[in-house]
Amino acid sequence: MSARKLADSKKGSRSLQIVLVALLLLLPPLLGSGQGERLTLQFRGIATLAVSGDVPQCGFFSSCPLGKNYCSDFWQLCNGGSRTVVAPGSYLILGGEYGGSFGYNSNATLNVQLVFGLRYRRPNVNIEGFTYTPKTDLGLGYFVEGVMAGAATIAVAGCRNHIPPCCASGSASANASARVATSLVSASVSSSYSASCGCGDAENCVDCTSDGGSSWQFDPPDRQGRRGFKAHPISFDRGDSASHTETLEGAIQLNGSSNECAVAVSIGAAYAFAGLLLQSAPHPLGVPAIGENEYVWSSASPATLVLPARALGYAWGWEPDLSWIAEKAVFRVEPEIPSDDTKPGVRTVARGQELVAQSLDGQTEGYVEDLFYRSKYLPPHNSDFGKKRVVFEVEDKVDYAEIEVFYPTDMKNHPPGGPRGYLMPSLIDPCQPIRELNEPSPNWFYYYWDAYGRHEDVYFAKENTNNPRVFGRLCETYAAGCTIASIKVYIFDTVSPCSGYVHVVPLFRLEYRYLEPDECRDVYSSAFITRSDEELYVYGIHGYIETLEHELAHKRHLIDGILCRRTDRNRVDNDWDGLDDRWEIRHGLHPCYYRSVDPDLPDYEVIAYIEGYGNLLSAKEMWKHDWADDCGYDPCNTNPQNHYRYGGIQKACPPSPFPWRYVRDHRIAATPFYNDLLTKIPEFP
Amino acid sequence: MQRLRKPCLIGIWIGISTGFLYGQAITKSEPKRTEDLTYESQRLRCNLKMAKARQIGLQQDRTQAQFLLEILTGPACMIESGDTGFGFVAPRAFHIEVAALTALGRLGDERLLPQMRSLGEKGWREVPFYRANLARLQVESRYSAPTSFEKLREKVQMYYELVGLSKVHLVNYLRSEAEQQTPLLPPTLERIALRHITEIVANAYSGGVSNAFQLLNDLDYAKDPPSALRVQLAQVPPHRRAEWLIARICQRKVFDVYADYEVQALIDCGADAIPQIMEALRATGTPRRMLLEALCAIEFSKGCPTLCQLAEGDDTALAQQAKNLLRFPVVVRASDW
Repeated sequence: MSARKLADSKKGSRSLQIVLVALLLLLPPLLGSGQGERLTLQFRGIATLAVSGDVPQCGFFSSCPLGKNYCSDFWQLCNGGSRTVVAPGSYLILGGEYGGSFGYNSNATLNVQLVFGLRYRRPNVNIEGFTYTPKTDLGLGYFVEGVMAGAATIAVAGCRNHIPPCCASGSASANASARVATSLVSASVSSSYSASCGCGDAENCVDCTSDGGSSWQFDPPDRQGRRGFKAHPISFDRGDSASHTETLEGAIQLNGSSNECAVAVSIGAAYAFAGLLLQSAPHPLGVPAIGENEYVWSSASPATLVLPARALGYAWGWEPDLSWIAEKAVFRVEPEIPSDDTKPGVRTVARGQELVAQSLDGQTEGYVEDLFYRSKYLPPHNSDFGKKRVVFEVEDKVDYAEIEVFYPTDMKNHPPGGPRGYLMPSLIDPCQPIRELNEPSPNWFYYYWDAYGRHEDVYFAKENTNNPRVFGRLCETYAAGCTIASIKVYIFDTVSPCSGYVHVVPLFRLEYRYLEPDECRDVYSSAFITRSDEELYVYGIHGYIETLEHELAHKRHLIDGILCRRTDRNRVDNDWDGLDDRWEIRHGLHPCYYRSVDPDLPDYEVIAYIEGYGNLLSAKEMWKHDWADDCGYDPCNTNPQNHYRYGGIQKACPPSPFPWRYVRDHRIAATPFYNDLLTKIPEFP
Repeated sequence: MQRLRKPCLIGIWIGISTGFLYGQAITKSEPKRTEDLTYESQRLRCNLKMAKARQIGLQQDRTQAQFLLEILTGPACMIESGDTGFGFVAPRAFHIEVAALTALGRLGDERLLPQMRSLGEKGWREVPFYRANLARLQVESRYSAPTSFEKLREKVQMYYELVGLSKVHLVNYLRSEAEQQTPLLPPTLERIALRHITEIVANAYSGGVSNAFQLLNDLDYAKDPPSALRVQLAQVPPHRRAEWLIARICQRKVFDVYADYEVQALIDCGADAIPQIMEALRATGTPRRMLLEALCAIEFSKGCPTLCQLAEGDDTALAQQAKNLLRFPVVVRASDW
């Protein structure tokens, strides 16, 4: 039973009181669940009722829109006066019925100010090294419905009153007007009716025609009530709370006059119901940067993606019927996500207080809930994933929720094409014939490769042993001498952000240190590349980039003739590290030690690490393009000493610092401890 | 006293790490995700595993065979982008597998054959180190310590057959192709086989087969420095090997990959070599770094006390090198030696 129908009678109004009190107790003040703590909504009503004039009968009624105290307080205004009550509520009902034989003139005005108070509990997005600005604007949908004014007048005239004597004539005149106004719609109506007659035989009270008619008027005439909707943004930029105020005004004016043998009755009523419509899923203030509003394409083929798209109507003290809003409501995604055979968000339906987007499933011709996408393969480009908005519109944009869309990392349902994958039977010679894999490369490789420039001659590789051993390998063939014929770079499955292998980048500095005198170089002290005691831990797409840039550095060194892994009589390479001695001297390396920088690393690896790090720095912002899923692991890394992180960098809560971890002496920072780390190979004249 | 504090703390840490890794965790299969381990501790852990694998093989400690097999069947070590240098250039995780395979070959325990063969089914079949050490395991099992030239000849011949090479092929390889390969790539099957054969022969010579080296006739093993070193070292009395090796290292002006085999041989001499190393370090013009690396590895399990002292000594250049080595300690220099 709707509240409006109950409001049509006094009796009904008392029933409504009970219903409303029950609703007050049941309606939760929080929005949604999960992220519900983020946003709290409170209704506050300030109602002022003013009654003036000659009140022959106490007939004001109020259905307690603002609570029990409000009712009882207003009930005592039959003798006129004004009273203000503060209580929760989001509607207005005002009615009055006057009648009498001696004339009356009365005005009643009910003014309700609705204050929608919203409190925003800001999430902790404190990430060292990077700044996030979470969305702080919230779009409100303010709606009113059932706005209606009604007025009725009755006039009856005769010769006889119920108490003798008779009258020579009877006359009655009743006027009633009612109006209700909101910021969206209003209604007003007036009614008047009069009756009079003269008595032919006043002594015997006969021969006077009584006109017992009435006039009933409603605005709107069809008695359905008017309704309206508007969007209104509020901002939490300056604080954690914001409010939005709306006014509902209702007034009735009733007057009438009659002699003692006539009756005039005036009835007026005005009501309006208001509420807020808020996007509820995805949460409009959800912060994807800390793992909220994240959605993952399925790993199946065809791949599917389901994005929830819902809104909730919040009213205090009455139950809205949102079907009229549903007809105008649209949920859509920006930028658009293509779908092969579904029509996501093709319609919106109302279900109780909820608006739910529905999608047309082209395979079954049936409707499924929320925004449903299905595609034979995942979208073709890395840029098709990531940051999007689920927009909620009712005629105009109301609000949006920031979301992030991910792909299943280790699955293989990306579109055909891209680099081939190979099985490495042995690391003993990576240039041995290798078998092409019969399956596509994993999604992470395809999309990292796509995001990072679609390099040529880069391939995916798996080892044919149980022991994963490397991240990347480079395979070169020689035309003659040190002239390169071809180079291929292999990125191994260990680079997967779900492999669990930590990716550590050794770092280097230039230091003055003493060296032994020798035949190669008669130097006792000079600037040499040296290994720093600081390391960089990288994750996700940065692991791919570092591996690739390291191998590409080798590639450049090979092509440029800096490195040659064959014997070549034209080169002077005393320490057999593949680097020409003269070149080593000019670039901070010792020509007589094949591992002059690090006890483990050959010098040609050192220079590849240095260049790889430099290029990785240039690609630092690439973390913003990592849309790999977390593979089912909990990627949230609450222990800052934990060097591991699973999944793509943007999935779930990021580590802090994010996404880099420079580590030195068990200390971790987002920026280097040393400001002189080498990012390119030093060169000396 | 205060000055001594930091490096010695490092030494203590090394000692504790070594004890822990050697005594406990190292005997267990490594978890795939090794939480809360720094890169350096993982690197150290990996190198320690390699050193332990070497010792198992050299001492023919068959009770530790499982440790070696676990290296080959599970994620044994952290992985890296780049290559490392342990006698030849390859990823560190590859070196530890080489160390395990080499040790399994030396163990010569025929009970391990089924497990070794199952590795072949899993993709190792084409790996030269696997092939060579599978053959080595079988010949060591059949002829553990030949005491006559004839038995030695049979052993070497069996090895040729099992590894799928002939002496003629090896002779030709050394004549024509050996010099083509730089130590920047892991050795070919021929080189590995040559090193195995020279080791088998050298061991027999040390075991009393005085004419053992005749089996190397026509083989120009000098083209493979580790093989040549093996032969030469066998002819030096054990008590003089450290001195001989130090002299050899000190004569070097260039320190390529092959110098690592000499350092490894010096490490294998153990604590007895420390006084001679210290004496050499005091001399000027010696390649101290290589000697320091040997010193570090020899004393590693004790926390590198001598290296700690050197790091705080008055010889600035030596102290700097010692400190650097304490930061990135070395425990093994050749995985296949």
